[in-house]
Amino acid sequence: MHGLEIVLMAIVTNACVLGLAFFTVYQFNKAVSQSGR
Amino acid sequence: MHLIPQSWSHLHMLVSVFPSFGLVCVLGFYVAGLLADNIAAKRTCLVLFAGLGLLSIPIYLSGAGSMAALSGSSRFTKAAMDAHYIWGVAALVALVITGVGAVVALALSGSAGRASRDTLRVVLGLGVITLGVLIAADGWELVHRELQSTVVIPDVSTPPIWPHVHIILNHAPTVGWAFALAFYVVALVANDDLMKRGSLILFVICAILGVPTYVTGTASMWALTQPPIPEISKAVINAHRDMALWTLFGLAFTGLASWFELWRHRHLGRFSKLSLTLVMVFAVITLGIMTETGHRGGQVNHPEIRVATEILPTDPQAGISMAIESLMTSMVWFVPWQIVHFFGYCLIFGTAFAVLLRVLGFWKSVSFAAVHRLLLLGVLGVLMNVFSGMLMLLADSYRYLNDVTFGPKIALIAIGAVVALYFSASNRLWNLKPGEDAPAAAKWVAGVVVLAWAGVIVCGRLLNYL
Repeated sequence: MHGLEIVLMAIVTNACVLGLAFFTVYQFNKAVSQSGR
Repeated sequence: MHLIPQSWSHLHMLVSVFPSFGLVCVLGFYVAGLLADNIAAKRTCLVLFAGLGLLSIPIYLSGAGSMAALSGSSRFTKAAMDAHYIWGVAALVALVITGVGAVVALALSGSAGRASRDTLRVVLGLGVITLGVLIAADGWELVHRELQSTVVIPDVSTPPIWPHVHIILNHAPTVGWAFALAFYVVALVANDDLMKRGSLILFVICAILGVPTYVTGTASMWALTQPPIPEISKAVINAHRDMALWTLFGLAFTGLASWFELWRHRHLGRFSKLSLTLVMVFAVITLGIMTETGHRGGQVNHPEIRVATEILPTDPQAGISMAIESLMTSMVWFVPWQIVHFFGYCLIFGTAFAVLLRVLGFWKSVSFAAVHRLLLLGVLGVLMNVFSGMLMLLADSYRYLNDVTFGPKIALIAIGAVVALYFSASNRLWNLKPGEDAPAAAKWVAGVVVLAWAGVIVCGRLLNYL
């Protein structure tokens, strides 16, 4: 049960952190795409 | 909040840290201004040199007042006070001479704002000499006798080098922040892009230095409480540590907002007013938190500045740091953040290696501007690792901080992050077209960055094994 808790927490935490990171990258790249460089 | 000094000693402690660390910031900005021949930057630095010279008056008066007030105390030896007085007066004389030199340079520059190159170089030389004398006049040995302790109990003591580094390092992000803010305000008022970029870089450097400052602070807690030292309270340290945690967040928010704006400016060629305002708001809030953190830090080992009406914390288990510590000892919380830490390393090392490949010429067909976009991934990796690393450190800080590879790991993080700022700052590198060779300096910098981050990963993995 303890192992399952760790796996679920690991999935949720990393999905949130990485999701936020890649959303930030997407938004910033979209913002600078107009420069053409 | 007894932030307003109520004794000569308190005033002396506050004002005397500004010339040394302030001079480092002003000299750095001054050299950048000279190299770029930027009138606003040079004039601002000359005014700040003059301001630092004026600061010698309250420093001298508060120092003399402190000597008179503390001469009867058994905590302070007469020999140490006399030695600090002699070096202190020499440093203040050097500071005044530099200030006068800066005023002369300002007067000679006239309304056009152009002083002769030789005059400006003389001021630079005076500033460097003053910095050397200021370092010699450092008065830490007066009150920090615990740093000279030779008592080492195996598996109990933490090396006294940690608190020693902490009391030096903690002034870099704090005083540096005040100067970065001053430069930033002038940059916004003068609408000078070079000064804006310089101030944003200074914010980022201060934010990076916040990491080793926080880590050395945690190590200092162990060094000063295990074995216990009379007069030093764990509860007071915890109150300081809690505020330091908020400062770390403030530094991270401002540092990130500053770096994002530098990154965006490269691609768009202009600054966003909204982003610049956001940086200002973050920086001012962080300065407020930092001031309280510094005040609480001063209470740890400076009984001479305490006032009778001030109530100090007494519960060593209270506070957010202790709550996080107890939470992170559970594997359910520790393992997920450890995995975040590993993902962070993938992003950092992948980015550093991609930049190295382009700069060394293996990806010559790509412009540096294209590679520059990747830097965002590396910075997000650093953010992920600072946050997850802080949580993991709190899970078992005594064990980590007494590991032989932890110190080098933290030093390499600071080196790897500060040196990587070159990739955002260099105009020559930014203008590198497909097929062109990168400058030799960029190759060295890329090599240092990759080696530093490789060292961080190796030192981190070796924790507990050496």
